[in-house]
Amino acid sequence: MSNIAFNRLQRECKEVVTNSEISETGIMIEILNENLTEIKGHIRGPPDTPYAGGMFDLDIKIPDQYPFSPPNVKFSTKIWHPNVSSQTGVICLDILKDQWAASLTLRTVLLSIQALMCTPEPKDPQDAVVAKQYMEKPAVFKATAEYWTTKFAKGAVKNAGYQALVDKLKDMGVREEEAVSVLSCNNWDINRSTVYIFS
Amino acid sequence: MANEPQKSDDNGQAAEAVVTDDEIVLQDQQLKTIEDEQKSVPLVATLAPFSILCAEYDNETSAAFLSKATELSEVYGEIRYIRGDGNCFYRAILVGLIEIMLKDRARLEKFIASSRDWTRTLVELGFPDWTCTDFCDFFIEFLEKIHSGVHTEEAVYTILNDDGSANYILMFFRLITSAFLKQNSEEYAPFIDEGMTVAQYCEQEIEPMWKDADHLAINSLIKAAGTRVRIEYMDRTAAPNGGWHYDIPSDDQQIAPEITLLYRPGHYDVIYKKDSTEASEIEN
Repeated sequence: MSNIAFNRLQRECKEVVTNSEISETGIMIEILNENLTEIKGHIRGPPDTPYAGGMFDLDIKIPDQYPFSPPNVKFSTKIWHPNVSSQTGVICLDILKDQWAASLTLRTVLLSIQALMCTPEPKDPQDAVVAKQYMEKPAVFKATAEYWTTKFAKGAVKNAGYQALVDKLKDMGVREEEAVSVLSCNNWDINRSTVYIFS
Repeated sequence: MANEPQKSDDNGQAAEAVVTDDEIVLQDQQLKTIEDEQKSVPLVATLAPFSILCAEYDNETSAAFLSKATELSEVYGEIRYIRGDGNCFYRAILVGLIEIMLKDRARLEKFIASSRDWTRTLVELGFPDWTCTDFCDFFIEFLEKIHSGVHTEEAVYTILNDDGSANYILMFFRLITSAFLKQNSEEYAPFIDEGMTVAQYCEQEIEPMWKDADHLAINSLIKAAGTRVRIEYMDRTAAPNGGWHYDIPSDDQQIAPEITLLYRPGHYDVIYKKDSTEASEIEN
């Protein structure tokens, strides 16, 4: 990274860290190395969404060509969202791909991801299974996304029914993360999930 | 594991839009190969005799291009190759202007003033706050250092070949192209594909780095930068007027262009007329 890009990045980090409205915006970053190429992002789950009450972490990697190439951003906290891979955390968001512009900043990126959490785009999915559930079974989607929030993003709401199903699979020797994932993909149908895992 | 393999069974249509990790890896590799090829040419090469262009073509495999190159070599003495990284048009204009300003102090001062005006215009047009003005400030500082003699001619070319700085400077040219279009959006809207606003077009085609300039971008940059450009075509079918060359702006033909570019499919380089004034004009 050139000096000028480094200086700009420093300023971008400052913009997020020192922003006085941080309690309102719910975004924060943590710098992981001196040359600013690895950054941890945090987004508070927006209110009135299934992610409310959760704290979501993101891995941000700054490429050599920054700011002319977009930062590489993915969720490190597992999240149930049509535009995020439930497996890898990869995000499908135009500004992180071909719509990136050098005038955008870490702050605008984090705010855009937060906006995406409020308004999923199921027509342009990253995770087709989640997107299908979002469109066809919105109530199950909402409950599943909430359950993932409590499970992986330190949320406070508990869904005892879902937890019981996860525990059932765990008793059969299935890893907890796999149990959550398979049940979520099968709309919490324990029979289908068992068949999926054991056949 | 759980949901990745299901995508194709459950929802074939949606699955098409989903890019798998393997595909991303493959794409990255392909992009890397293209990038390596591009980087074999410097961003801005040193001046080379025009005959180097003729040597690129073979009488058997590309007779038409060879004959055109030979014809051009009667008029043009030198060529400066520009890296084909999608920025070549913007970079060619940037280099052409810097060359003029290195020799013409009054022009340099005028351009510094107009760059300051552009900075204000960008802010007025609502371009994102400091990130955009940063590019302007960096470019203006670069010009001022040429003016004060801090940057020698040699230093200028070193900077124009340093990826980081060179692309910061280049970004200024993309921004003023975009600003010019937004300022004149009523005039240009009819030339933009249906369903897209001028602002969207700028955000998708002009402002992102490494996107080729189309005719609209070419026109806008030349007008925004207040220069006159001739584009020589190796292939007549590529010229907007069906001729061998095309001048922009096209309304004052009597004033000689100050920058000449050579267009080959998808790419621009800068070319220079021979010193002798009697070099004959190529008929259109």
